[in-house]
Amino acid sequence: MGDIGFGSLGGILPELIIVLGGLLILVLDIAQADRQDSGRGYLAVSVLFLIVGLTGVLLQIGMEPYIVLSTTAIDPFATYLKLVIYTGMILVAIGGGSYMNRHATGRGEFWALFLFVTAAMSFAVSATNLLLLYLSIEFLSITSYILAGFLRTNKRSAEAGLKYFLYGSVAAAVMLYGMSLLYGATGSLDLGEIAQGLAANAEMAAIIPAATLLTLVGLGFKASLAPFYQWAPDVYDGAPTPITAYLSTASKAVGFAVMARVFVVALGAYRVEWAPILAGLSVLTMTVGNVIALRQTSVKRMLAYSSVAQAGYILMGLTAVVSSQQADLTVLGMNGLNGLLLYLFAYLFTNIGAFLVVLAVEDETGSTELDAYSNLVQRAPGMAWAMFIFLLSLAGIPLTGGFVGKFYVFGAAVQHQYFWLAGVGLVNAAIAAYYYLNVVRTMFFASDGEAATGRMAAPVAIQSVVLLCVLATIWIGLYPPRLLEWANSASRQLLALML
Amino acid sequence: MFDLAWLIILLPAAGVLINLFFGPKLGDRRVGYMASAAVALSFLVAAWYTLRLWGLPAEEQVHTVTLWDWITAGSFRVAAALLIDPLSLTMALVVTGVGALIHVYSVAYMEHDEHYQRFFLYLNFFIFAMLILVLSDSFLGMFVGWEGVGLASFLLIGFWFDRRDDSYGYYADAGKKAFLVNRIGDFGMIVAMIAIWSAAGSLAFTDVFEAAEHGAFTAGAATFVCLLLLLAAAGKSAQIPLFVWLPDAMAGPTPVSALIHAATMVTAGIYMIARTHVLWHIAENAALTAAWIGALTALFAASLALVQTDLKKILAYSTISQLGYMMLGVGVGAYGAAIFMLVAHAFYKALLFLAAGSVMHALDGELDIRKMGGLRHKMPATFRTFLIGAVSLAGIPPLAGFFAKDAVLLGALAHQPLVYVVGLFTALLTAIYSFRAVFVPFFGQPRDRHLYDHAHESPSLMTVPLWILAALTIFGGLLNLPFVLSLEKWLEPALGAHDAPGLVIELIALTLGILIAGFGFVIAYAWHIANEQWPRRLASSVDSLQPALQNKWYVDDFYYERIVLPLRRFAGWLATAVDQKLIDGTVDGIGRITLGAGDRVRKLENGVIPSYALAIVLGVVILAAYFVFSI
Repeated sequence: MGDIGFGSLGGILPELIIVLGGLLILVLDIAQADRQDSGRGYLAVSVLFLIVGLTGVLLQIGMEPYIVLSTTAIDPFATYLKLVIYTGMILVAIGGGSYMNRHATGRGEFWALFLFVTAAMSFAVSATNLLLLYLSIEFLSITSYILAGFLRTNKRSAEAGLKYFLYGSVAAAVMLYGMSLLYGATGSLDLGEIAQGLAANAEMAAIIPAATLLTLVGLGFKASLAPFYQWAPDVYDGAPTPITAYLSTASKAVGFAVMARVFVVALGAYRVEWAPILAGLSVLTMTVGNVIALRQTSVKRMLAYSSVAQAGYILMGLTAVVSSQQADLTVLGMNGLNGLLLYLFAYLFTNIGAFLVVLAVEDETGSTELDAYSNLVQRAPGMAWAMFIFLLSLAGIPLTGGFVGKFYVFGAAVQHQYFWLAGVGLVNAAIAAYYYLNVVRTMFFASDGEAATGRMAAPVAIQSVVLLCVLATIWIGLYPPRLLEWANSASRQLLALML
Repeated sequence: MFDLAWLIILLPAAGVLINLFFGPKLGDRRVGYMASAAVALSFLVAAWYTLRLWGLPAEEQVHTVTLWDWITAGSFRVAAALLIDPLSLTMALVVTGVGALIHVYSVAYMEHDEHYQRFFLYLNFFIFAMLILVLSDSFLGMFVGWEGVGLASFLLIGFWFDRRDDSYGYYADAGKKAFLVNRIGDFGMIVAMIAIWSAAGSLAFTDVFEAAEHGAFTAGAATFVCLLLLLAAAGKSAQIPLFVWLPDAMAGPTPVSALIHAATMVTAGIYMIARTHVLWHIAENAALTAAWIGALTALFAASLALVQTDLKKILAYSTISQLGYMMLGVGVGAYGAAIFMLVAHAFYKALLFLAAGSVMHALDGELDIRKMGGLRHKMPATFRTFLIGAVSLAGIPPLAGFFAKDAVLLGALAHQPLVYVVGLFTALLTAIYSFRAVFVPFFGQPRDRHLYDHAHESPSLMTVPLWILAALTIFGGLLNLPFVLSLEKWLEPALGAHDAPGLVIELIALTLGILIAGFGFVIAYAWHIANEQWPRRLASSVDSLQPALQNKWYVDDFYYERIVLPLRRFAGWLATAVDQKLIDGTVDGIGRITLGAGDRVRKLENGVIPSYALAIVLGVVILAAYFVFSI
């Protein structure tokens, strides 16, 4: 179980650094008398601390798994997700930071919260204890509510924050109820001990469905699964675009990571029961997301629904963990979980890049409607081509990261005999191509030349992050061996914990 | 020791790339010289390796040079590898040697063309693909080259795609026809490969043949495979029933006709059958079919060559006829003789086409022999070289054509006497049309004064290749003299031991061959020069065939009526009834339903928080219901 002591804090050093960074910004903000400060300094400090944190996480790659403070696992699975989270937050900070600095009041608070939310996510993916799990998810949620509503003077942003809060509260309450059932059934908060307790007490089996279900509500809310997704489009659309970018990627990744850890480690023995439910939710999520996305006229809102639909595909990876054929999941090339992890990483770059293009267009035209994108290729060829790549990746076209992710989750579903699920997924991917390519059509082939012909000047920060995202999307599309190896070892380590 | 053999293929490929990226900067002339140099260097490399292979003992003359693992999918493995043996190097020498000469010739011939650079791009690409075809060590590699030369052929036949005239229609259509007819053959090749894979478990030549020798193919399976290969060869080598594309292929520039549609690409089918001879030994019926198809094609095409008035079309039908001889040769098992004929034919047919091109160049594109006459005074070099080519084609000793045809017919006489008779009669027709093609344009009085005055000898860039080819035509017979048979011996490691026919039979064949060729010459001379009546009386006995000959035995019409039109009607029905109504209707319908669903479901997202919270509760209830009812 690892000792509780000062020395063991080394494992959570990255998180501690981030929290310290946040506190530092708070202190600086108090000491700072100038209310008109540009916030650039905070941006720089935040990026600096995030990079130090990322470095710390990189150093943890390849370590033997161990548990800190009885509650926090430092294992390949958590490390992989922390890579996703930190990378995502750095990209958002660099690309979207100046937008937030321009529009937000209370920049010091913003950046402090930005770092705190990173730390919260980081803890959530490591937590092996229901209490820490709940706390860090709540920590993440509450900071996210504030961030989503951070543009207080903007009605839509304030509404998004409030909606997110109300919806989140209901979901959190339901989830807490489910967790309490698990505790009641086994007398432990530790995920591993819960699994053992459930195995030891066969008469407790009756309580499992209810506990599973109620826990699923809270985690499904985080991952924006149908039918717990309804907050997502409203919040994604209303929140400031950089916040949407991280909510739809890093925060969603946390939802999936926690779901994977709880379901695999604590409830792994009951996977035959919960897998069909996840499969059903997966189908429902992708279908609802795609079908509604078809009719959207705002690119930002379309991406919000697309993000819901993508959650459906990602969930296929967790569904496919169940196998009636293969006893030892850890030796499979496509065990489902590695597909989920790869998908999250590819999706991170793709979606952040796409939202940054939306941000750049929004900066220029003040609109997120599709019309604002007409003939974008003439005004900003770089941005248009980058958006093209991102949309291809979202649609899952080969040589992009999105394809690799889809390939692995669909492949896992097929390998585990979930043919109907893969089939529905394919149909959905085809539907999705329609609205993704619709944007491409508008950007490249809009017939009316009424849109402004002047060049659009995107800030260098956005351009460079978008370029980075393009490169990463293509890089993942070329099957990078290192990334595959990380995803494989992370997924195998977690699956090995399944009883 | 053959590690660098890929250079043979790489050099033309480099020519393509240089032309593609730097062609416009180089300028036309330099592009032509660069492309020629690429092929010439490739020839030198091939020659160097041939010398080295020659120095080895016969049992060490087959080498596989593996480059990399090309395709690995489950148990299906194909390596990108070269097979270096006497056969493949002989083919490579012909392709690069004749190819280099024709490149040089084209530098002058294409001088005034506005797409000069593109022409050499295609030409180099052709050499590249053809070398892949002959040097690959597997069916799949050969197929890549096979398709590559098909593409090059399509591009080059339609090189002047914007032109049209009465004899070819739109030139682009001629290219299309060649491509489509070849697809039928390619289909045979693909199915054959699948069959070979399932029987032998490999596509590499050496593996397949070893498996075949150990009984992997039953006689029935081998016949099936070989008939499909025969279909492929009939497409590429213009045999019955797929020969119709080759006369139309003459729409391409003359160097293309010489290189692709006479000397090299069209012989790929012959090469392929010779390469797979192990299978044909098992499939005797298929081999017999090939022999008869070859013999009939030879006869049939020779009869058509007799009545053509377009100089290039005479040569085109002559090519089909000669390919028929080669097919006959491989059909009766005389593989070495067929390859010898392939080499010799490459020399004299390329020579004839290039000389015809020289005539065309001088007469401003005119090819109708009825408008020519007396040209030997105006174009002495062209005349002499054309004469050498025609004498060889007619089978007059001691030129290469005589020995080549003799070798093939000797094989037929030894195995299938009936086939031999057809071949011998065809030889008579061959001699007649060969000399007709000499006498009408080059002798007698000018028939079109204006054309005649305009005529001039071609530049030396064109005549020098002609003379080189003429020399090869004269001395090419030395490669494989009767009783010496050096070429057939050299090919033995690749083609298996050939059986030497008896002395008597050999002498009979030689004598009959000489007599029949001489008789053909006499007929042509009497008809076109001496203007005597008896040949016409002889011809009048078969006058009833005249309309059939003029209409190419109605084959094109038959294909058009019975195959093209029904297919078009079927395609039209598919396009309107099936595609537009059924498929488009379904697709649009699904799209409309999906969009409609989007409109409905969108309403659920109403922004009212209590209804969202209700959704959570409902979701939980539904999932709980699932649990309750599923347990």
